Amino acid sequence: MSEEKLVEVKNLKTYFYTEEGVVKAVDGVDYEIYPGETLGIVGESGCGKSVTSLSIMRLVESPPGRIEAGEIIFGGKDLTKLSQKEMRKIRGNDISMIFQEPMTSLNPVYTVGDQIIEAIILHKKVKRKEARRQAVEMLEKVGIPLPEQRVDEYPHQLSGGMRQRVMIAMALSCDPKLLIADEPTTALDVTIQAQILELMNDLKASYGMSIMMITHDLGVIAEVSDRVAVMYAGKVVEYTDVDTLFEDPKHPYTWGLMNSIPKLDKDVDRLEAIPGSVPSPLNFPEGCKFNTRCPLAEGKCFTDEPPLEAAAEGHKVRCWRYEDLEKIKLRGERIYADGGVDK
Amino acid sequence: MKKSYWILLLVVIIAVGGYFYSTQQQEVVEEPAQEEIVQEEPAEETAEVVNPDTFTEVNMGNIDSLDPHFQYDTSSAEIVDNVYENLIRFDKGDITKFVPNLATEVPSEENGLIQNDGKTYIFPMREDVVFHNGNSLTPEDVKYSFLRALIQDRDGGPVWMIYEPLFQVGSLAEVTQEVVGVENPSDLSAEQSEEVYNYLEQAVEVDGNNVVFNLPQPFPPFLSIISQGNGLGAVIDKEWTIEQGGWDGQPDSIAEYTNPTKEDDPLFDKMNGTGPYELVEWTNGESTILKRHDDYWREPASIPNVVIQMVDEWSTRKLMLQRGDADIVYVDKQYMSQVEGMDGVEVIRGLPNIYMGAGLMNYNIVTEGNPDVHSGQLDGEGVPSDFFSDIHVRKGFNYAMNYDAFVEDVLEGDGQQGRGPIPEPLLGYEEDSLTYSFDLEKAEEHFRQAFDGELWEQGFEITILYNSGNDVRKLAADMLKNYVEQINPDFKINVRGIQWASYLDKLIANKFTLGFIAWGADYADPHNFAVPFLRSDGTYGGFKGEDYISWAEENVDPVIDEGISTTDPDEREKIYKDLQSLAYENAVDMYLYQPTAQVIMRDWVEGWYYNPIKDPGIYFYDLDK
Amino acid sequence: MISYIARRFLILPVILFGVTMLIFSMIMMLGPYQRLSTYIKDPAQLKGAEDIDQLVEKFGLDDPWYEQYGRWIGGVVKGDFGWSESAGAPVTKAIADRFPATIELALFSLIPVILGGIILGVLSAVNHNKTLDHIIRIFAVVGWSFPSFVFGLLVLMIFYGVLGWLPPGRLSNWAYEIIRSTDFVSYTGLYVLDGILNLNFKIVVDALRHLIAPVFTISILWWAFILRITRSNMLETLKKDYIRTARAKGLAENIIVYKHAVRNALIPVVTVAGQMVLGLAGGLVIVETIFNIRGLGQFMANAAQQLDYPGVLGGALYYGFFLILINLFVDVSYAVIDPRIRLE
Repeated sequence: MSEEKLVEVKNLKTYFYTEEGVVKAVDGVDYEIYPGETLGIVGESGCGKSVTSLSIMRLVESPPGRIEAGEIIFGGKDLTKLSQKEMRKIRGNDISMIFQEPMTSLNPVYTVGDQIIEAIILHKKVKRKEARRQAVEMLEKVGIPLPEQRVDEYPHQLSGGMRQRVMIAMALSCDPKLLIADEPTTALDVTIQAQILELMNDLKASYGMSIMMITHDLGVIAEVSDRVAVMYAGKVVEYTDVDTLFEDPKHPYTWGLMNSIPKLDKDVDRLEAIPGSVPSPLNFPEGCKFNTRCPLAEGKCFTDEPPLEAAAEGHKVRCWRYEDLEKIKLRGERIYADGGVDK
Repeated sequence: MKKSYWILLLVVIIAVGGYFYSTQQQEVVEEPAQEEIVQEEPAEETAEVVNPDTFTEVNMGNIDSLDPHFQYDTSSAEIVDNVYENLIRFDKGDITKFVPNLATEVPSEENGLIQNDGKTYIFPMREDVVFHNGNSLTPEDVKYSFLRALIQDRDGGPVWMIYEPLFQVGSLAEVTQEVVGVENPSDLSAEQSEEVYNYLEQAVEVDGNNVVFNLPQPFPPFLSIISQGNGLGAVIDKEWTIEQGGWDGQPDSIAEYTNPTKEDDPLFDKMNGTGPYELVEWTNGESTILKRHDDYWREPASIPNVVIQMVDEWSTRKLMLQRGDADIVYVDKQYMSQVEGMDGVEVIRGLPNIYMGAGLMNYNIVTEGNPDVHSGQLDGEGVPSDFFSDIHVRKGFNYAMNYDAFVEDVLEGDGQQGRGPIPEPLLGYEEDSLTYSFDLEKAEEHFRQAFDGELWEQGFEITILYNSGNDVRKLAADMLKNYVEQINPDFKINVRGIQWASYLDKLIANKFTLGFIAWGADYADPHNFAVPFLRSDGTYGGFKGEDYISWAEENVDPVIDEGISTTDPDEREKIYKDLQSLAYENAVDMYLYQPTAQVIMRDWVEGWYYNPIKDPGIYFYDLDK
Repeated sequence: MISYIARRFLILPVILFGVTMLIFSMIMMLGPYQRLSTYIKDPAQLKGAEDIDQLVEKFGLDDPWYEQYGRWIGGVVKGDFGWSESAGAPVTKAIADRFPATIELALFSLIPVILGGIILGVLSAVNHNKTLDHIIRIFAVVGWSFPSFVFGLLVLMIFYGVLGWLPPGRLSNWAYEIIRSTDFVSYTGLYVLDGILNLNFKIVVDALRHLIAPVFTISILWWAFILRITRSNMLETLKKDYIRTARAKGLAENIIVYKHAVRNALIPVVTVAGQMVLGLAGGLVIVETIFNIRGLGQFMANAAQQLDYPGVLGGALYYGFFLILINLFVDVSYAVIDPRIRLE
């Protein structure tokens, strides 16, 4: 990893002003992405992970959303300060994004080729014939058989997995430095999922680009990430490399996540489950946002928000009691009640 | 954000409401503004003449046919009157005085051109008259025209009007029946046709430069019938008509050319006459365009072009009048108030109209399948078939009508009460003849006597129909209902409007109870009113039921025959006065009203005069602007 | 594609047969005297009972219904559609005469309505809840709420009555004279087109001048219709995922709207537009009456009112034909717009 950061997100706040009140979807988030690495963003739905990526792309619908504060430094510029016209030069070009639902993410009335060619012509300014040749090449690179034929087909003629490959082809057609992938495999079958992830890794290597992988699936995180940020209620609650995260989670939430999924190499009688659910963004509690579900919450947790601190080298945690959690772990105890699921 | 949307919505509601309010008010608002303008520029011509070379009349409805012998409606008659010509014409608006037209003299006893006690009429023909296509007028053309009309005699057409004077029958069918025993003229063989033709030919002869008419007996209104204004007497060009496919002039072809349908009639949409205007184009339902005939035998007309447009929408017509794009428009009664006082517009009202509107009473109502008689019995829940056969019932109804109120409110003062079937100013009409007046007491008296007192005890229920859209008839029915019901609580009248098609059906099938109908003069003679209203086989008389028909055959028909065959005008007057009284004494029908006519035109129109026979048609020759 | 179109037209005679049969049977439910009223407008024209029966016989009103219908069908097969009493002309001529006026009005109304409606709808959707959107929506509500006769009369009153700019009818008198003259060839009956083909631009201008008011009256109502459908579909479409993808590619907003969104939003609009075209082809009796345009709307309304059954049936045939034609066109359009739709 080189020292030069590709993207640096500093204290990003993205709020939504709705009729019911202000939704603080992203409330002071910091992370960095280095060239050639994959940063995983993991969290439950509603935690703000998608919104941070949309914020980077400046695709947040405003109104009602607004980037309230913070900086997003990319290529020496603060993306939050750029005009839409300038952002359009970056989108699809320097930073690309792919989405969760391949079934609906492609325009049904145009051929897949047209849609890729559109991006190429827009950013690379080549003639149509050349763009078409490049599009066919991309389709081949993402592993679509008979690409000269496929390029003239319509999205409804392709399967889900194929469509996601097309999305990837479209996203990579202009050599982006960063690929943001928002739940790219969630809607796919498990076997296809694996293929797509493998493809993404290969392309990352051959293009030398970075990937921001947003997901709620820990398995995917484990598969592709170099470093991980865990998000909860609009904030990053734990931030470290992937191995450490799995071996030594320091935040009670992360700990809960890890222990609530069955693992082949561990043998437990019962799984742990985090009780309750994510609080409504209109109704966040005072103090630590996790205090409604955290079994360790006490005193200060209910009044003061903990800062994101370095618990160890390259490992940040946002919790008042992470040291206590360490001790509990060493004692081999559980902190959560039964999940009620027997092995 | 939400708030601003509500405000905008409120604005919209107010705006839309304002629009609707203003359209309601619009008529009221317009009038004062125009009156102001009238006061500022009093006597002078208020506007510059629009389109000085073209006279535009805007009417509504349809023109039936341009064939003078086929048409029988006022719209067609107007066109025919300007394009074709007859042997004589009225002296402008005077329907008692004739002047020569295509003939050089008007036949009379004095100049010896009426002979044989009124059975022979001699018309010397004018020379150097040309048709629009250049052909010259000859006496042959006149003979051809009349014979062609007699042969054509289409169903529901006007030709019966000359069959009466020339043959004392009602139609060609009666002639063929009499002469060769064939009921339907379309069935004549060539031989039979020749026989019939020879019979017909007797009536119209060419003698040198004269055309001679031979009548079987004197017929006083004859000159009136063939005078200009009645397309029946129009002269067409023999050569040209034959070219168009009309009657070939041969005696053996009657069956081929008789009673055509409109579409088979070659003269349906083509015209070639001697009149001051010729037809340029006719677009049925849209417009008729005429242009001046420069070789007309009199001075050519002042205005070179005439356009008669059909515009069904009143508002549009009104605007055209206002802007001067129309010189004369047709105004429905209910819109008269909108044109009174309009800038630059002249409104002339109170023009005498030879027209009688009456409530026809059916002496023998067909009760089967007829909801209008309700129970069909004299039981208080309906009326028996012979309801109107009882003279007391008829008189009761006649006394129960508020004639003054009708004229004042329904006709807005434009008219007068009828005094019998014969209207003013025809022979037999007297201003102070006995007639019914509004008298509920007398009405009650008669109702009490009806059906030997049973009607009064039982009461009745009856339905009176009108054809929807005709407000005058509706209001007449409403008034009757209102007053009759006041007389006895058991008297019940329902008033209902139905479509024209159904109304006609009821009439024909004798299912009507009391129906409002009307008759406008075909020619200026009381005979033209006595027959339809009173004669046993008259247009209306014939629908009044068996009881009436047999009574009329005995009491009316002989008097009518006498009236038409007497030549002495004083004697005739007496006879028709008797008929008028007869109708009154027997309360044959309710002779409700004789309306007046009106004309609405731009004040730059000059030379207009009124002729009650031609009304509402305009004769463009005499106009200027 | 060709066989699809052919098959659609093959069904035409069946539909026309059914429709005309239905109309005919409704008319036949009236007695012969009632149907006689088509020919007799005033009882004064009747001379007595004999006359009536003769008339009934002459027009064949007493014959059994299948005979009367059979006669009509027999005529149709030979190309004779009968005589329209209400129009005073053969049915074919009556319709052919009025067809150009109706079509001209339809064509000139179509363009502003469809284009205008779609553009305004798109603008409205794109500026959702901003001032422009509100203005356009108010405009739509007003247009939708005004009955055409109120609006038409208002337009006539202001622009003709007060200002004298836009008179009723299709042409001024002087223009009619030119049309009638031998120098002018009426190729189509559509005065604007004929004017262009004859290189007589005074005619073109006069004809256009007469078209403004009626087209405007028609448009105000229909604009609203198309506008609302377009707007709501656009709002839906703009929320779709592929729009998000397009944005993520860095495309400019108006390309996203006009290239990516509009085409997807168009399908329901095409349906509505099709109905509208059909309505226009059938003629609009109110607008025709107010602006004194001799069109098919007036013809069919009068024929129905006067029980002129050859006229009504002729009109039904005309309408039925257009129905098939336009529905076909709409279906083909679907397939062109959306590749997911395949013609069966």
